Amino acid sequence: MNTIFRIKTYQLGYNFYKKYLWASLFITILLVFFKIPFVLLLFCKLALTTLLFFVYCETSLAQTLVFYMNFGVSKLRLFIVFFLIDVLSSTVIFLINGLV
Amino acid sequence: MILEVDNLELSFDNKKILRGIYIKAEKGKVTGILGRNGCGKTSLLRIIFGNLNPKYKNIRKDGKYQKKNLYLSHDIAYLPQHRLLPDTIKLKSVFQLFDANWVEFSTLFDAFKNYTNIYPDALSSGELRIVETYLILSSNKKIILLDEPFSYIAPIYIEKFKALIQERKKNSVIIITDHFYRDILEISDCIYFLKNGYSKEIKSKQDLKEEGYINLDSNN
Repeated sequence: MNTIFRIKTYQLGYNFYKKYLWASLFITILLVFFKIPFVLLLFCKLALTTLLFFVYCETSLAQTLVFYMNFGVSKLRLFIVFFLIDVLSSTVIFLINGLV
Repeated sequence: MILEVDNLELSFDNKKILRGIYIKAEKGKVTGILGRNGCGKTSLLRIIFGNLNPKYKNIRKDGKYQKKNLYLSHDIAYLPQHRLLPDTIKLKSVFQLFDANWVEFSTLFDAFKNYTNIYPDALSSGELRIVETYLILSSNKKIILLDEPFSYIAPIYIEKFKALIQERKKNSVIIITDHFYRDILEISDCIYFLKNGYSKEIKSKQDLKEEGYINLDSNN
């Protein structure tokens, strides 16, 4: 089965995301506070995820990804899952803010 | 399964690290890699695993050329020289991810009995190495790569791992590298020595002396 369709990939992706959870929530709350449109919020998150991906590719942080590779999860797939989880949490915060 | 690696060419800053390599590793046998620091042992394992891409490589499984990086095939596990486990996951969860048995582990290494709910950060370097080595060996993958598994580990645990490696080799291709050459000589069925980018099969301690890796006069 393709790695992207396995539950374990998302478990691993969430585990990786946890490290950046608070930073991501802070950025989302900040953007929501300034009433940034949802599409722009997603674009900001995509840009930050892409930046983080290149930081991991070009620095010694790359070696921390061997753990995920042991489960067949490539760098690109890990960051795709990271982005999906980030979009989900950003959407929830955006919607909660709309209700308040 | 037979894993073969040859036609490698890897350079860093115009310095050729690997160029004349031939490694053949088989299920049922432990393949040891020895060589001085900087000779390319770690690079070789990383190339096999697929997280280092050389200029050229030819990796074959049962004679079949592997175009994709091996880690994408889900049948390879790699213990790197550096730390493997992230800080953000408890030991209990890591064991679940690797489908490893905590009870079996804590029976074999009884000092870990109460560690199930802790994060890897709470372990010493040696303890962490024990957990990581055990997880990789328990991963039931067809190919297991071990880069310096005996570093930081107490002799009593090294003996346990040597027994575990002998057990696991029945189902997996195992490639191991370490500077604990006596242990490597003891557990390996086939040994390659890396020097000047080339590999050479080693048959005895005497060969290692001739290659300038050990001094038998003071190390026998």
